[in-house]
Amino acid sequence: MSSIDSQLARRILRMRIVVTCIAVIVAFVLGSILVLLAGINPLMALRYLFSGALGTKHGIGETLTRFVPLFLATMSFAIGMKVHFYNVGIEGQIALGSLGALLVGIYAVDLPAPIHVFLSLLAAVIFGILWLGIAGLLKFRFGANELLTTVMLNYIAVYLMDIIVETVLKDPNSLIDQSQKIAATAELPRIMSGTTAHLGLLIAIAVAVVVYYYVWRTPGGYELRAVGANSKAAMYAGINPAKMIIIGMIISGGLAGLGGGLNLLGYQSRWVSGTFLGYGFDGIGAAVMGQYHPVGMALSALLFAIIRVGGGAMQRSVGVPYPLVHALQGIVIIMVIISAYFIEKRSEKMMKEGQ
Amino acid sequence: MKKKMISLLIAAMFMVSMVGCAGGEEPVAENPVDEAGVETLKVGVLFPGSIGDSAWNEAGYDALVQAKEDLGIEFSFQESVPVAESAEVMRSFAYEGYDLIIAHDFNYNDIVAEVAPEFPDVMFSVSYGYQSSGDNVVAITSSGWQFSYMAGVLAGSVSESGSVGVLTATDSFMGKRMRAGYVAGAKSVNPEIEVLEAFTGSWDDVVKGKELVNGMIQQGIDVIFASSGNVNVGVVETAREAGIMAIGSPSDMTAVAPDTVIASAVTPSGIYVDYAVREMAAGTLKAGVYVLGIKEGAEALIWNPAFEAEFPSEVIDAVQMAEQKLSNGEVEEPVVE
Repeated sequence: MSSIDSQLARRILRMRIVVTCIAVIVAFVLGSILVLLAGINPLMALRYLFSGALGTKHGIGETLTRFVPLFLATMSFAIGMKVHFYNVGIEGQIALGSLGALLVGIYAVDLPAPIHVFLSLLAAVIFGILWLGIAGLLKFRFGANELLTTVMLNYIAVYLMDIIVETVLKDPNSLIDQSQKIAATAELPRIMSGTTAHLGLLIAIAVAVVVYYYVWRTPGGYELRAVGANSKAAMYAGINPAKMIIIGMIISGGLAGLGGGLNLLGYQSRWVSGTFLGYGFDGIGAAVMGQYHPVGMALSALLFAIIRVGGGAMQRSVGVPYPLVHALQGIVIIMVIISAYFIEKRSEKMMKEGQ
Repeated sequence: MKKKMISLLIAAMFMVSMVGCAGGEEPVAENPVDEAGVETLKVGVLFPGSIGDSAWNEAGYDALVQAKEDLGIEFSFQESVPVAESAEVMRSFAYEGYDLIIAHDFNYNDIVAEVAPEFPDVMFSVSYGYQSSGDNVVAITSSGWQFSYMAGVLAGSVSESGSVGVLTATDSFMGKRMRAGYVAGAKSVNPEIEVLEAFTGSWDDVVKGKELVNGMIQQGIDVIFASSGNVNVGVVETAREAGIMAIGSPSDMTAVAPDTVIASAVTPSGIYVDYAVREMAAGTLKAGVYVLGIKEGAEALIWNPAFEAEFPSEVIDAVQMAEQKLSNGEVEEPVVE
């Protein structure tokens, strides 16, 4: 009996992967049509997209730096989903996480590098959790829908960063509205010489592995997932749903904050007014595309990183306008959502047949 | 059937990655050589916005196209590059073998300072930059006040109420300097003149801009100098409704309200690209900060021909004299608090 179930589960998983890949290919085909309408050879454009992101050492390094916050954003969204908390405020939490790392990075000087980095990242995680916590508080105290509150908090966060960087944290030595640079001891070291790829990649992967292990392989994580699947049943089983949801939210906010912190310490080193990273929003799309599984999400995050970096190469080499790159990403996300519908339908059918 | 699908997909993905990896090692592009055996200059440009914006970016793009026609240079560009992404774009241009990289926005200045040392054989130019951080970095900028000085001279000369106004977008150092230039220009023709100053705090908040201008009109101004980005059109509208005169910027705004706009203080922003490319092509582009002003054509006052014909000769003379003095360096830069 159980072997049939696991075989069915495996078939369903294969189907999900296949359908998602088809969705991505269809999206690229549609994108190519747009490129063609712009008067450019889509095959050349695609060639430069991939060679720009993966064909040189420099490109690979840049792709890997984009991957770090993207991947953590997907994990953040997925964990939130596991407890039915729709965290669409990841963009704002990444910004706040960057702020935490920025503050400790600039002001906590005279510390040995590893400690400085650790404290900066700790601040990033805490700031991310606190920012999500605002939405959580509003939900638990006033029943405010987190879909709305977290989205609004995104805007508040981004504008808050602008104000802070134009006033309190403004670099006195610069005419531009930007913060000072973080101290050298807070910077994450490069891991690929001659590129911008930094230690944040390894930290992100390590943290993701730990979170995966907790959520999918421990009894505590099981309780978390149980509450998300059926909170009433979980309650009867003696699990405290509120506690589990809060834990899920803490992990979600913390991951997003960490993504912001790693990106700041490893890649940006300062915050410029008007910065809009977009990793939070892209991460949500990538999470859906990755079927909320860490491996799938890592691959999706990698694809989005490739599109970001290669998109620039497309414009430089064959003149594809950059807004088309954003359009391509949007098409990918739409196709993935459409495919999710087909996946659900097919899963139901396969499960009926399986019985 | 499923197996075939999966194999097909895997094959497709392999093909795509083959195509992608055909890029190979670091592409050190060979500069195409023309008949005379001279290597063509390759110019890479970063634009902060869209080249179809009818303003800053488009002017830079047009200058590139013109340079290609005149000098035969090759160029490539990337639009809408946020500062956070600009380092990657600059490095990519450098690796792709470009000789001159123009960062067409002063906000890129600090990033150029970071990236330029990694590529000593590449020349970097920052449009409206303020700092040359190394031997291969050029900052080309305008005075930032000479054009508003001209506007002030004109306003001071034509004002009948003895009170004129200026609206800038920000209260930053540049905004303050612009306003200081206007005040200095107006006072140079009429030391008793009253100058009302305001800033919108935004490049786009037309409603706020109109409110501020109306406030100044109620206090008696009869000339307004609009220097607040996208708000300018709203300012000119307000001036037209109130029946006062307006001076536009940073391009010729005569067509917006031909009976209201008496002149425009223009800052053709293509000049920063043009200057860098031509100097580079001539081999004379050296590190440093180049300040271009009225003399070099980076700033100018363009008349609305209808008003130019109507105004008394004293007004025309005053403006012409101011232009000469500025070109000769006889006017001191106004002090900004």
